[in-house]
This record gives sequence, structure tokens and C-alpha cells, in this order.
Amino acid sequence: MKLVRISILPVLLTLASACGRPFAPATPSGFVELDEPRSSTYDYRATTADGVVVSIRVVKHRPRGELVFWERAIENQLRDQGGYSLLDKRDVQNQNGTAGRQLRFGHDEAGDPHLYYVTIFATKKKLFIVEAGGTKEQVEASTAAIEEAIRHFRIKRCWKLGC
Amino acid sequence: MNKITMWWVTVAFLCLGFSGGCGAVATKEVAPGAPMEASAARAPAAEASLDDLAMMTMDAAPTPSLAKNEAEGPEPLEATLSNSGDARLAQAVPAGAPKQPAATTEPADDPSEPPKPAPTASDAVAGPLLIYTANLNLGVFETTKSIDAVETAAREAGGYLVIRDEATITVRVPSARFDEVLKKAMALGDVLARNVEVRDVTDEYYDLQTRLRNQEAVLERLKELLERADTVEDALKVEAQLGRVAAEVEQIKGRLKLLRELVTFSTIIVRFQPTAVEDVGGKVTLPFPWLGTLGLGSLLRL
Repeated sequence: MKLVRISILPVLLTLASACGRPFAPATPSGFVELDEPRSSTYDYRATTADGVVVSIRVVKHRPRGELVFWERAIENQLRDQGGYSLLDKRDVQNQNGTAGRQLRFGHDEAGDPHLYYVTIFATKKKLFIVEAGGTKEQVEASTAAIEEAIRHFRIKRCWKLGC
Repeated sequence: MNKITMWWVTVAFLCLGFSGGCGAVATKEVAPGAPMEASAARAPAAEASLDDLAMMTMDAAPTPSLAKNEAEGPEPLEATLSNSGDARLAQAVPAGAPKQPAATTEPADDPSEPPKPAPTASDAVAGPLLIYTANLNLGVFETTKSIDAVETAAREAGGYLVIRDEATITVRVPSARFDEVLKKAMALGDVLARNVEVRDVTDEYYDLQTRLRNQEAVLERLKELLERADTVEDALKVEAQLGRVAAEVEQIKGRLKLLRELVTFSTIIVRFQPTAVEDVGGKVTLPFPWLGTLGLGSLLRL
């Protein structure tokens, strides 16, 4: 009995530690992953030398809402409060086969047109928000890499209690 | 009665009685095509006691055209306004209404003047005079390019630029092409908010026209009195009144011109900025702090 307990303990510890970042990012070619401080809004960020940035953040999915709710909330927030111009909406899917929605916005920053893509995936417990942005020219040049990063982005299964 | 006293009573009557009483009664009584003398018939009580006025109003008995106009209401705007070449104003008259060829083929120097042809019963029904103003809020993206496009669309439609800065442009376009230019502007970006205001100025326009006719009638009479003034003092007094009435006539003409301009050209204001909360009656702010941290500002701050 004692032997069983001892053998289960490392397994549980391994599982618990695996929940540190509940996703596996796919840093696209041409991007480098940045070290994010604990206080950062983002759980992951990567950038190109030209300043196109891809980020992932995870927030608790509480209160629980359907994907369409969060899509609409993001749209309203950015359009009404930020003056962002909604350019396109599309369905996306990550490596797990989780369905998400991508909203593509345009916005002038200091007179220069920029593009900003927000992609949201919703699981029972968490919301995964993948953002990408930069100057219009650079983002357009990196669009394939950004789409690749989203396709290969994987949400980890978490076995930790309360995860 | 002393002639000078009589004379001054006449001046006072013309200035006070006519300029103050230009409301609905005057609207009914003044025939648009009638001679100026006819409007003096509005003061029958004064006719009996004032020799000068009686002399002036000898031929001012109600004419058939005057009587007819009383029944028909205010003059139609079609003839006056179609002279200015404004399609929308011309459209104000129902399609079935007969046209007045004389009025539409000869442009008038002063569009506020009454039309030459006598009004007909069908002309009495005129459509509204509307001032259109559109306010658009577009997403802040490729602002300069979009502002250029709005200006180009307005110019191509025969309009003009009123003012533009980095985030806002105001153009005025012929009312007949208002919808067309508005659609083009809306296609330039993400429309965050749209507001189209329509103001009906028909009543104000009719009132001003009536007041103008009355004041011009007063002006004519004052000129006649000035010619017959016996002393310098009398002439100076009449001139003072003339100046006041002439200023009022100019003011009315100016307002009429502005109204015609506003009806002829509609205003489109395009702003490239977030919708102000107070403008849209309170947008919902969801209690999710992470929503507030979305945006390029945070993302690109490495």
C-alpha cells in the first residue's frame, strides 16, 4: 500500500506542474518568443524584427458564455470604445480541433494604418485569446505565419483539480 | 387736420401696423403676383381717415387674383425655388401639379421675388422643404485615404468641401445626390454610428417670404413719402425709417438665401473616431477587465 502511494505521488506532481501554461504555442517562423514577467497581461508573446507581435492570454471562462457572446463582446469593445474598424470575421480551428472565431480590425496608430487580429477559443473553464498586430504592411506580409501559429496552437488537457 | 400731422400718422401707421402684423392674416391677404399697392388694402380703417393713404390705395380694392389667393393659401414654392436650379425643391411639388413654364424658363435675379404667373389651385399644395444633415462615425483606419475619398465623392457629385482636419471632414452635396454620396462614404469603412437629421423649414420659409413682401411694400411707401417730404426734418425722419425697414428686408433676404442653400445642398459630416458614449445613449460596458486591455497599444508595447 505504501509503495502504491509513493508511486502515485510523482505522477500527481507531474500533472500539477504541467498545468503551468494551459496551452502549447506554436511560435511561427520569423518570430522570437519573449519572456513575459509574472505581472504581464499576456501568457505568451512573440515578435518579428519588424514589430509584428503575436500573443496569447488565458482568462477564466466565468461567467460561462457561448463563443458568439465573447465574439460580440470583443467586437463592441474595440469598435465602440476603441474606434477600431471591423474588417472581417472568420471561423478558425486550432490543432485540437477546437473551433474559434477571428475578428480582423484596422486602426490608425499615430496616423499609420495598423491591423489587429483577435482570435478567441472557448473551453468549459477557460478563454484563450490569441492576438496579432502591427503595421498594415508588416501584418499583411506575416499573415500566413500568423494563421499558421493559430492553426498549430494547442490547448492542453489539464488534469489538475479545479483547473 | 394738419397736413404734416396726417403725413406722420401715415408713416407711423405704415411702420408699426405693417411690420408688426405680418402673421397668418398677411399670409392670406397678400397676393404673390399682385401689385404692391394691393397690400395697402389690409388697413381699411385707416383708409377713411388718412387722405394720403387713401390716395395711395385708390386702386387697391380686392382684385380677383387677391380674392383667389385668399382661398388658396400661401404661394407655392415651386416656381421660386426651381429657378435656383434645385432639383429637390422642384420635387417638392407633387408630380401631378401643372408646371409654370414662364417661371422655370426665366431665372429670376432675386429668387425671393414672387413668381410672375398667378398661382393655381394645384400649386397651393407644395411639398416640404427639408434640410438633410448626416453624421457618420467610421472606424479609425486609413483615415487620410478615406477623408480624401469623401472629398472626391462630394466634388464629383457637384458638392464642395466645407472643412477637414485629421479626423473629420464636412462636405456639402446637392440634395438630389445626398443618398448617393452618403452610401459612398459609408462604404469607405466600418460605420460605428450613423445619424441622419431632417429639418422641415417649410413654415419658416413661407413666413419669411410673407414678411419680405410686407416689408418691401412698406419700403415702397416710405420711398414715395420721401419723395413728397416737404421739409428736411421730414425727409430725415422718413430716411431713418427707410434704413430700418431696408435693414430688415436685407436680413430676411439673407435668411431666405441661407435656407435655400441649406435645402439645395445637404451636409455630410464624417468623423473617424470612437463613438462617444453620450452620443449613442450609453453603450454596455461588460464587467470583464481583460476586455479593456485588448488593443494594439498594449500588444505592441514590448
